Amino acid sequence: MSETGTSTRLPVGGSLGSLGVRLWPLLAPAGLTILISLLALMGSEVLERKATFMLINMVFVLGLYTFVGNSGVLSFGHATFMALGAYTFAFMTANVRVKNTTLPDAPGFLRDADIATWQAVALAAIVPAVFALIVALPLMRLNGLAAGIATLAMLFAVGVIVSQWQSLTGGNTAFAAIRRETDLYYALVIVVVLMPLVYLYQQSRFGLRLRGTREDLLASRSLGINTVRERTIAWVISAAIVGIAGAMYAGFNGTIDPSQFFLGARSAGGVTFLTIAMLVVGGISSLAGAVVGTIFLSGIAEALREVEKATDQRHITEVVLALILLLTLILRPRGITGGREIYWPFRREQTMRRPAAAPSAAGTSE
Amino acid sequence: MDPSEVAQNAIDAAARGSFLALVALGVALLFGIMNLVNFAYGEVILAGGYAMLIFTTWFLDASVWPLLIIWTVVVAIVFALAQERLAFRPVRHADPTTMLVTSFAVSVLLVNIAIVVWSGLARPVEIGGVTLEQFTAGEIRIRKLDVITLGAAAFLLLSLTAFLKRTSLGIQMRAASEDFRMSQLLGVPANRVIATAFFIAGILAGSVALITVGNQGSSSPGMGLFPLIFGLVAVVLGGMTSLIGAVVGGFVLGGLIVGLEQGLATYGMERFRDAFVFLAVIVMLVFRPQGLVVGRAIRERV
Amino acid sequence: MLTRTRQRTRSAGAELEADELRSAGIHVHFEGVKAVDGVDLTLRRGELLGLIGPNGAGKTTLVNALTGYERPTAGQVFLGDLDVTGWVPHRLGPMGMARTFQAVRLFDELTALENVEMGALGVGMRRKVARQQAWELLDRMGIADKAHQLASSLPYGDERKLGFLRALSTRPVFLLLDEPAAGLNEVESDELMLAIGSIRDDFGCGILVIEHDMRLIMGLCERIQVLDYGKTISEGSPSEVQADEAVIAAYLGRKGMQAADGQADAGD
Repeated sequence: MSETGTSTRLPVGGSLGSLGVRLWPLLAPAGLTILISLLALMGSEVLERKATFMLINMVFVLGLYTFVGNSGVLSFGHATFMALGAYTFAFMTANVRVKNTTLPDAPGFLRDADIATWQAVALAAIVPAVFALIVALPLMRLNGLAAGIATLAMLFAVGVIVSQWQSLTGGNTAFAAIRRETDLYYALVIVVVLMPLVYLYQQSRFGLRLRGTREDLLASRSLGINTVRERTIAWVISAAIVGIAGAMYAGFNGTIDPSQFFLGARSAGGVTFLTIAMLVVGGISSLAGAVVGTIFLSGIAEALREVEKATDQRHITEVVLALILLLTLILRPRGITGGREIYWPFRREQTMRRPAAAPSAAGTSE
Repeated sequence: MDPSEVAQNAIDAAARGSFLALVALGVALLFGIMNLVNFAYGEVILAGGYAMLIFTTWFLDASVWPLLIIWTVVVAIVFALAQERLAFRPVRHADPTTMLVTSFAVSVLLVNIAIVVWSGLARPVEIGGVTLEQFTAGEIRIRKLDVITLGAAAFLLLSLTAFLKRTSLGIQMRAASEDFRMSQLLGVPANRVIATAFFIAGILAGSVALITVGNQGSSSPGMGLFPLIFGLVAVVLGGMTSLIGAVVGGFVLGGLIVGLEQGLATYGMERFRDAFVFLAVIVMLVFRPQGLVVGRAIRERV
Repeated sequence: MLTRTRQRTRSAGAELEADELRSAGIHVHFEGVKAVDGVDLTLRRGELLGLIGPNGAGKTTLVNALTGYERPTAGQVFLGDLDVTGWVPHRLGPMGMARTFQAVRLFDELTALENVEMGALGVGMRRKVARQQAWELLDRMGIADKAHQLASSLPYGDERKLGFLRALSTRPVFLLLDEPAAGLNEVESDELMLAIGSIRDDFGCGILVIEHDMRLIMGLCERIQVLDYGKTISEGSPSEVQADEAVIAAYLGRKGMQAADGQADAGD
């Protein structure tokens, strides 16, 4: 048999040439997301804001999934990246005069920064990514529970620094006058760009190697897979994505403060709980799970917020979400999607059909 | 630093250390038996705190303190057992990460229920003047509550040791925390051992609640979080798989906190204390994951 | 085809075309138990070497030491002239070493195809090349029709085949198989042994096989090394080993004690 034919034999149609991966398992999750966004656009302004908030959470959960879903290592620390992204965006876009009044002791280049939104979003991805790369050195060596505790320690350590470094961040007082440009279109564009990237990473050799370490750490080592390196790649990508979620959130809310990101007496679970719940309820080890979980819990949460408003009783939402997460863990621990992709309307076999002209009896001719 | 200052710091460190040792012991007990890092352990403390609030506002005032202590500890035990039965038993055979998320869910659930019922604000608990009283010896001040904490910690540690060493149930528990599966094969009843662990953890959490409310004079939804987090830190420092390690870790952390406060104060950075504490956790996990006191080996065989 | 492309796709292994894997005086001790007690072993390229011995003889521990899963207490491991003692497993993979596990250890939630791809990806191949090769390997073992099933859903016999293919997809120079036929019935075992032999012929790699079943190993290997209590007690051709008094004594002498032995067994 010929040894040169490998690159030409794969079907190229409908797949990404270099990966040979078909993108259509994205159809259901992306379609659902776009559909809901469009429906919200036709509804009221309140609905539009709710949908935007859902998309911000979806970006976070997509980032969380990139690391947790593929590596199987739990992280309680991703809100750190969101905070870093949000504060980066805040520094880069908030009203210069307000910054100079409220943060007189912050470095001049931060007080006077005023850059384009897209540049600020890019920076909000880069800063957490660089931070993630540095902390990866110790953290990515850890497995299982130790990793979970270490990411929690990271969250608390950074939380203390952000909330106590008065002169830089303003401490626990709100960082205000941030440029508010996050609307539904803007959020949808980011989701639609990021979702295929996350899927492509998952299908790439990097993603598959990482999933190998998730399934069996020892066996993956015997195949030459460097766990620390693979995890670090996913960790950094995921930090960048969650950083973008932070920028979106800052641009959505207009003001930020540490209690929105870090665990504390005031947050009662906060974004760390919400996003972990979304990923686990949807199904931790598939992109479809990340998307479905976000949509499902966002829907319930937003409906409950209305109930809260009507009854003037706060925190019912958190109680119900925690119950849903608990019941999921007990009754359907793999989540709504079972941790698998949604192949509808095709079948899994068609994601990577065997190369048409591949020889059927390799080796016998040698 | 003059001698009285050293003595003062030592006393502070011992008081904090014994408090943290109590929390850490509860965390380590559950981890040893069923590989569970129980975030919701903080909410057992929380339950104890609100039990005290109920006691002092609904039933009696705090002057009948023996009843208050019994009531608080009993409520904590009931909560601990309920957690086990309702949340952790169904996921007992899941991987440790699933159990960790489960405990996170239970924790968030209970905190938010507390907020719904009692609001997010701290509610004062009237328990008399014991919290403010202190002894003085020269320049050294000793708070009465610190003495009580030390005494309670010593009493509970000795009782627990006696229980684990002398009673058959205690010996079964030690066997289970060495090697759970093997102990099962040898006929140790899983449900009883695990329930006992939660029962003891409940006693410890009730005591921690009494001390915490004594210290801050109030109950609040967040009151379980920081004892739990620092207890977890102490367990990591001392060694996840050893009860002695948890106690050692508690005292080491107590010393570390007092030392950091003193050291950082000279640079005006004491408000960053906790950042250094959490940094110590990461350093410990990376360089000495087994902790200061090595328990059973955790190593997967090929 | 498979052997030729190796040089193009494996970056780290390019400098390695070692012709033997060798251990010199390997010791592995666990808390006083001498699981491996000074073993010299040489696996040449293109050779089929059997490693046998009673339960607890230290066979798996020796393979663990050779593949980086166990740090030798003393002694050295060489790939050609290169001292690789104490190297972590993932560094050895790209150098041409691969192994299987007694417990198979498949990637349960991935498809059979992805499992086989993984080996190729681990040593640095592109995904498309890896997939092409995985199809060929699945064909070779006659399980290509199950390519898209999750590994956890495969019948036991296919699991073992898949574990073998996964190691093979790294295009190893030295392949160490830990009881590849454990739990298979006679027909399946024979089929697998045949496949192992033909792989050696086609790939030219050196294969070490740990096996309990004397019948299988005698038919397959040219050379056999026998361990007992962590030491080499015999070595030679199948007929030589079979006739060796020490081997017979080891197997017969241990039989009655095997129940008690299983517990103290540190290695297997």
